[in-house]
Amino acid sequence: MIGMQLAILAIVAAAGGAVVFTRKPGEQVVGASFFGLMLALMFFIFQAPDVALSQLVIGAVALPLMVLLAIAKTRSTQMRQDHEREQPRKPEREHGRHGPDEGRFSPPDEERPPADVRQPPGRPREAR
Amino acid sequence: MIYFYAAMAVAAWLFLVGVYGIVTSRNLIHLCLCLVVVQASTYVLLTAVGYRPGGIAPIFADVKQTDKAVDPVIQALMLTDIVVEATVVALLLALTVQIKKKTGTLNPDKVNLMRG
Amino acid sequence: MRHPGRMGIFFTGAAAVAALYALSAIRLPGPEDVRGEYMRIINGECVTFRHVTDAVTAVNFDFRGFDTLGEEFILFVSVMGTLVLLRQTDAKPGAWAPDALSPGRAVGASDALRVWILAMTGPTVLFGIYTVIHGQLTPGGGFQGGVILATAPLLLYLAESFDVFRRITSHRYLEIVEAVGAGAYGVIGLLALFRGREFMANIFHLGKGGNDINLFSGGTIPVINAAVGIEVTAGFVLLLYAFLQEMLERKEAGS
Repeated sequence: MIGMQLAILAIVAAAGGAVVFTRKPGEQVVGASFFGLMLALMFFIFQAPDVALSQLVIGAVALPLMVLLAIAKTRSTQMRQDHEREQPRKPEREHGRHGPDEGRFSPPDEERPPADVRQPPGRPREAR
Repeated sequence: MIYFYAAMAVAAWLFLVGVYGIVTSRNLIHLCLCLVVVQASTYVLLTAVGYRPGGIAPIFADVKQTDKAVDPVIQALMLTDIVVEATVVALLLALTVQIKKKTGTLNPDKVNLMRG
Repeated sequence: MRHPGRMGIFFTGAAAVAALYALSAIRLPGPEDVRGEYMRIINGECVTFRHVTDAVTAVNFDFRGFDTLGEEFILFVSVMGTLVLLRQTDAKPGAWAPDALSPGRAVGASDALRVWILAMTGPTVLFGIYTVIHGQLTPGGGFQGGVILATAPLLLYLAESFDVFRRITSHRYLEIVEAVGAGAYGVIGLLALFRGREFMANIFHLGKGGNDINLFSGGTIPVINAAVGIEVTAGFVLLLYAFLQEMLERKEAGS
């Protein structure tokens, strides 16, 4: 019993470190799912089946799924923003560039570039 | 007894490594998952505090009621916390998606929310 | 690192936290020295005085029901905040990317696999309901069973398409169901006030005799358990719906 407890604690510690030190979110999700599974196993070994069941469905299924969907969404946003940056900048495109739901939150006569990352080389960020 | 100090050490390790990940994170989604690790440290600590050596699970459906059960109060705390954690992380992920839309970056060092 | 000062602050703080933590951990009484009267009382009371066999559920929904009410509303507000943040104002169903709309067809999954996924939906729902309604007897309960139930529509999305997912999980009614589930918890707590008892007191019929333990024994525990199950199911389906819809947002030309 005590050996099993120490072993699962060591696995949980290693898996937690792996989650943090995996820097790419797409790969990190796999580690996080494994980490959730190991936490569930730890709860089970420490006589907490209720908590284990809860952790199993949350940590190994629900949480990684939502992270994956968020990654997919940010990736498609990135693609859209890259695409917009390649377009020639015309004055009449300024208003509708971010879609109707985003125009409300930004001033209509904005002069800012669409994003910080991967700017055209002619306009470094510090120059503004 | 040794499991207790081992669990305390693992909880400290998870907390510190998770905070380290948050401090050095270059990606807000990575940061959300580091927060999950930090929260897991509390689960490990609470599990160790609630456990009794030789105790059984506090469920008396198949076994006769006994004094040798582990602490159900702490398990109840963890149970609700795990479900709530998932919804809070969902909220943070939704914020991340919006930040990406508004500012075009996921790097917390480069996000300048004041600029719109 | 772009911020060398930040790492300095982190390592100073982390070293201080680690040192204080180690100091306090050494002086903690070991598990053998803790008497744990509260734990012993609850482990004893839950079968005899509450007619439930799962002490964890009894703590959640009866002995410390007020705490769980707070947790329940954290969950409710988080789901609400996520929905507000991900609200779609310009969703055009016709313009979604066909790949993501029907993942099973997009990756070339065989018909047999998709039928098998569809066939697993029924058992998943059944297992979720089982987990919810046996919450006060065996491990499980509203929180766990609710999440299991919420994954069932996801199988439909995998096997069929997002349209099927959307038809099954009507957005407007789910919001009402979630609110009813969360509100029912508070209302059951308030009912005790009308009987002249304190808030969240267990006022329903506990069960006959000393050893009458079944699906309906436990007074308010199974009722609150079911309310939480409904709330968690609706909340997580709404979360998955919001994230899926956000991902399937219409793609701009050229991407």
